[in-house]
Amino acid sequence: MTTITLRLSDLVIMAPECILLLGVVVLTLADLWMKSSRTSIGIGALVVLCGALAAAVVQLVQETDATVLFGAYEADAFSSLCKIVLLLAACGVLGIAIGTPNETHAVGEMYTLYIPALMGAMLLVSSREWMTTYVALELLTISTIVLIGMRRAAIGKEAAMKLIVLGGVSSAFLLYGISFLYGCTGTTYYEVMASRLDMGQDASLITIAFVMIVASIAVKIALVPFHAWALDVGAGAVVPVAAFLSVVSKLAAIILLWRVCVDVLFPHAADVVVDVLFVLVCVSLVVAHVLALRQVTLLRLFAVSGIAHAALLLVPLIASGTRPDVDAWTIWLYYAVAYVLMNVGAFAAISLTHTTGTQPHVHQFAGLVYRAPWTAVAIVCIVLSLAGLPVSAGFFGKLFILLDALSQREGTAGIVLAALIVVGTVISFAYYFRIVRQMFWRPEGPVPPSSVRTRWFAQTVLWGSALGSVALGCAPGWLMELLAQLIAHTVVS
Amino acid sequence: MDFVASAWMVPMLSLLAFGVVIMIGERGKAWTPIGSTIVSGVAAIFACCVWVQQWQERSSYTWAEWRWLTMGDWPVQFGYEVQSLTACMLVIVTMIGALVQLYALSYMRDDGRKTTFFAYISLFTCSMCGLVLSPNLLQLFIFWELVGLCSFLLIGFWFTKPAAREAARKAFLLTRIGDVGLLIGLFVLYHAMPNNSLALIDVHNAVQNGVIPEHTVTLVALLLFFGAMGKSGQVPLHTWLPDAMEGPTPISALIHAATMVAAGVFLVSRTYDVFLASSTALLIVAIIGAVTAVLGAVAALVQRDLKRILAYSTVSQLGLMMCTLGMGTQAALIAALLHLLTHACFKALLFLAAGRVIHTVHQQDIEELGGVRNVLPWTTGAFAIGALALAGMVPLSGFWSKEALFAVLLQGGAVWVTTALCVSALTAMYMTRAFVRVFLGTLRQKNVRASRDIPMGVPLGALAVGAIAIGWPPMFARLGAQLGEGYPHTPAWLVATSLGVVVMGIAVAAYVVRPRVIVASTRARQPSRKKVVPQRRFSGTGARVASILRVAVWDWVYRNGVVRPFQAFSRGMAQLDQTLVRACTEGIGTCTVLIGKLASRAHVGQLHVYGIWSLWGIVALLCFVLWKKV
Amino acid sequence: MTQTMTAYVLLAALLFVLGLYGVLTRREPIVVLLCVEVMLQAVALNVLAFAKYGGFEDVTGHVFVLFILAVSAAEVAVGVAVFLALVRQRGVDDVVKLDTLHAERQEE
Repeated sequence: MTTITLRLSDLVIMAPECILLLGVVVLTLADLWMKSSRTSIGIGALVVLCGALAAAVVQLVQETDATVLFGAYEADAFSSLCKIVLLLAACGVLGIAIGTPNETHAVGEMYTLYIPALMGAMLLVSSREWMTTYVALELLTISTIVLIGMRRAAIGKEAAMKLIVLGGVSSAFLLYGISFLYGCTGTTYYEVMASRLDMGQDASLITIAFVMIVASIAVKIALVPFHAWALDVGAGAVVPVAAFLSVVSKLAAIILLWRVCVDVLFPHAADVVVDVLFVLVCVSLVVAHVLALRQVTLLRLFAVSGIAHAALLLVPLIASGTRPDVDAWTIWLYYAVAYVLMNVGAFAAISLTHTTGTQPHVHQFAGLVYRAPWTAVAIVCIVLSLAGLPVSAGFFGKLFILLDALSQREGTAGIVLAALIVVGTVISFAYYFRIVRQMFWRPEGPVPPSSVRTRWFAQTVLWGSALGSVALGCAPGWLMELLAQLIAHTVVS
Repeated sequence: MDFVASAWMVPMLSLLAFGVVIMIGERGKAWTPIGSTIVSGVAAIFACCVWVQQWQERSSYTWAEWRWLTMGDWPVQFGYEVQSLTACMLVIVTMIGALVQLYALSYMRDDGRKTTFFAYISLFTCSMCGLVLSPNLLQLFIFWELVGLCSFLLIGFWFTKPAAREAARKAFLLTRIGDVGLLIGLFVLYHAMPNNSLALIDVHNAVQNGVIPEHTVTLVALLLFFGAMGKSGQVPLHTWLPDAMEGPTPISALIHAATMVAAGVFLVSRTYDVFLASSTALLIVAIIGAVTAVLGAVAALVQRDLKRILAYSTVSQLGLMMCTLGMGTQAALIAALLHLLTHACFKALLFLAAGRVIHTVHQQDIEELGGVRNVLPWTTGAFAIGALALAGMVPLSGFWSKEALFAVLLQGGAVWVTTALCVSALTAMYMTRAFVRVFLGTLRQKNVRASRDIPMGVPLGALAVGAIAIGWPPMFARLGAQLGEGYPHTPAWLVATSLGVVVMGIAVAAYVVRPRVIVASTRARQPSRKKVVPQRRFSGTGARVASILRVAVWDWVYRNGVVRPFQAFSRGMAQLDQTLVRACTEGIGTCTVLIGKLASRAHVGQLHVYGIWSLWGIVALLCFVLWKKV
Repeated sequence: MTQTMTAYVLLAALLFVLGLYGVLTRREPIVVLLCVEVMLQAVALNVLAFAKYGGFEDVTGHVFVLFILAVSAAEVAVGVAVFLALVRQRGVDDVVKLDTLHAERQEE
């Protein structure tokens, strides 16, 4: 029997996560022992994230491709890229958090708790084994629940309660599905499980387990009809936490779904799983867009529109059918980057214009162009990207996804998807341009001019996202080629 | 200097003006509008040089080196293409753009957001030039969206007026519906093209060689035309165009009369090979164009707002161009484009003249106007030239382009040319009505004073000269020759008929719509607001006695036999337009919002309800999967 | 052997459904949390049954159960903390009353 030892070289492979772990311990202790100010803890958290980011970039450049813990954790180019995207998103969220007045009971935890949550998300990306996946998922969920529940207003606790119960039930369903797969194969590793599953013998049991797994991950992504919690929880959280939920948690869950589908589900029941996902995506696209039309509470609006974007992010997976090729992965990553940029930017805009103690409402943008013209310009860039108008990252992201859906999927399925995306985009103009209308065409709103404070961190995040969206729109080819180059050998091998 | 090869300078100049004006902002409101106007003037002169050089060398020049991104196998290369059509369009866009900016210097003088206005116009001119110069359909689509955005911003420029906000929203959504059709068309084309290329030249070759199957070509043509319908205000997507008149009048002249709304016709012309390959698509284009032409003309006849009359007239004329394009010959292309050019010129003239009237009298309801001739004699002349050109009176430019249209339509069939002649008669009628009501008669408003206004006068003069000069036969024939071979020749009888129809239209309208002269004794009798064509009034006691017989017999017959039924018909058509067509286009939006409301209400916030939804979701998925398996 | 396993799996399924029923019908937050725990322990039972009687030669299943226990303990700890905070702040002890989030003005 081999002895299990964790060597130092293994820790190097897991460097991004290790840095986060070290960082969170140091920061928590510093918060306890030193009378440090709120901002300094926030900046410390930002430094930790940057360290992890640097580690991930180094791994990407060195083309690290290794597994540790008997293959339970894998670091390859694709997961490094995903981690970089998640880390960038988390940096944006932290920037928003530092720039937002504190509305919670906590002081330092408001920043340090993002780190374990992010660690869960990153482990989820690299995990190739169900136990690791489960622990990572719960690490992400529980840390997020605490972040939500720390809001001083009672709605925060209400939202946390809802997420605990519904998240717990979905975890139970996930585990129940996994337990049957374990019962059929006796292993929890993706690859071994995929090779041992026998569709001939226990077809219906495996299929039911697959559906349970897909459905419970769909709860985490908030696909319709498993979406209802996302609206309430999004509205109950403070702005930066809502941003974290809608960007980092959602992306991590989508990556998990991709990984599970490609490694375990598709080799055995590609047709069934693709059909299930197809139904979920179509329903989500329709319901999310229609639902968003009437939302004026900004956090609800973005929770709902996030559902539509998440559905879009699953389209390349459905289109590819069995095994996504380099193109599908590239398109997915491009839209993921675009999604991070525009959503983080949108939440930064909400945070910048928001008066403490109220629920963010679309009226807070009223007449913004007269109070803060440059902020308004940046917000317009982000809204263009969200609505998918040229020239922006969102436009090309949608364009690539549409073309992929049409070219990969023959027959009606591709056309239905494309039609739904296009119609949804048209509907989305109506609700996204409500923000632009408020900014340009309404007299100054109830918010006094001084409320747009010079919050440098949030401003930087806003401008970074706005310029990033425009730059990606101006030179989409550059990023596409870079991404394709980076992940080519991972996917082929 | 090789002007053709450096045509990229034209949009770049406008972009530069936009950038500088927006950067300086309100601080430079004394001089940035003037600077912007000068830059646009330079751009216009540059465009003229491009045009002249293209004319002399008859060369087309394409530069598409900047590789932007790779879509499938096709490297999307951005660049520009100069050929006869784009050169002409470039001149029209920049010329009218420059004149409108000059005009706006005076028109918008007291507006608080003057610099924003000039920045938007510069951005629009830049995007429109980009659209015109695009060598491939993807680049064209991007600029297509940009001009739509500018149009949206400028219609809603006076956003404190609720009507302007509503109009902008409507224009945005309705044109977006068309744009989505266009986008789908591009996808289908991208899919169908052998090398996934959307470059216009590749599309041309592919369709000519018959690589693309017949039904796909039809589908692509119809979808492209759907996009053009949204932009060019074809029935049933036209309702936004009359409402767009809530924007400032210079904008109506530039965007909603001369350039942007013509982009639909331009698109069809640029992709004419696709249409030529599908007879079904051509027929649909012709039918929709004809319906639009008639409906627009009839609606223009019963409008009271001067700008709305002109807007419906634009709808009608664009319909005429589309109808001509539907004939599917090379001559049809040339005729439609010639009409596009002349129409841009005289319609901009009409709008600017109308703007001058509105700016001076502060009234745009033609039933409340009258006698403007006495205050603005030169503007009256300019409007008259524009109106006669629009009606198609010899020897103005409109006459020649309409003759070309008639010749093509005659080849297409008797029904088309008859429709076009009817539209021509109606055009003469509504323009006469507008002219008589606005300029003749007695001025009702008091204290109206018009000062000499050079920034407003120069564009009017220049466009009036243009409306006459383009019609100068050698000039016109050469223009036709520049656009391509096969300039259509009209038989003499048709020329005579069309002129007769125009004269008859003017005469009938002049007979029915008399100038409203308010004599001191009858001043108390204000005209009834409800009557669209009011009672005739006679001045002087002598005339009154002499006309008793006429009033009793002839007028009765005339009114009840001709005017009333015709009015009823016009009103009916206008009503149809108002209710049915609007209900169709706007009902969809309302329904969606309603469903959204219901869906939103369903989220009651209860944990149990959400849990049960999720449970049902899983059960439904399981049933679906098991059903699939079995 | 197989019969024993089937019995355990059926028992686990029963527990799972019972827990689900409890989550969807009970109104006391603590009981709802307990019902979530029942669902998770049903899964643990299922995994154990497979590990013990499934004929596999390793301890993966047993380890998995330990992980499930540990993580669900953490989850319920957070749940109880949130519940206590809710009771203190708003005096709510009924899941049905947790619906203020939709009541805010969400429509134009």
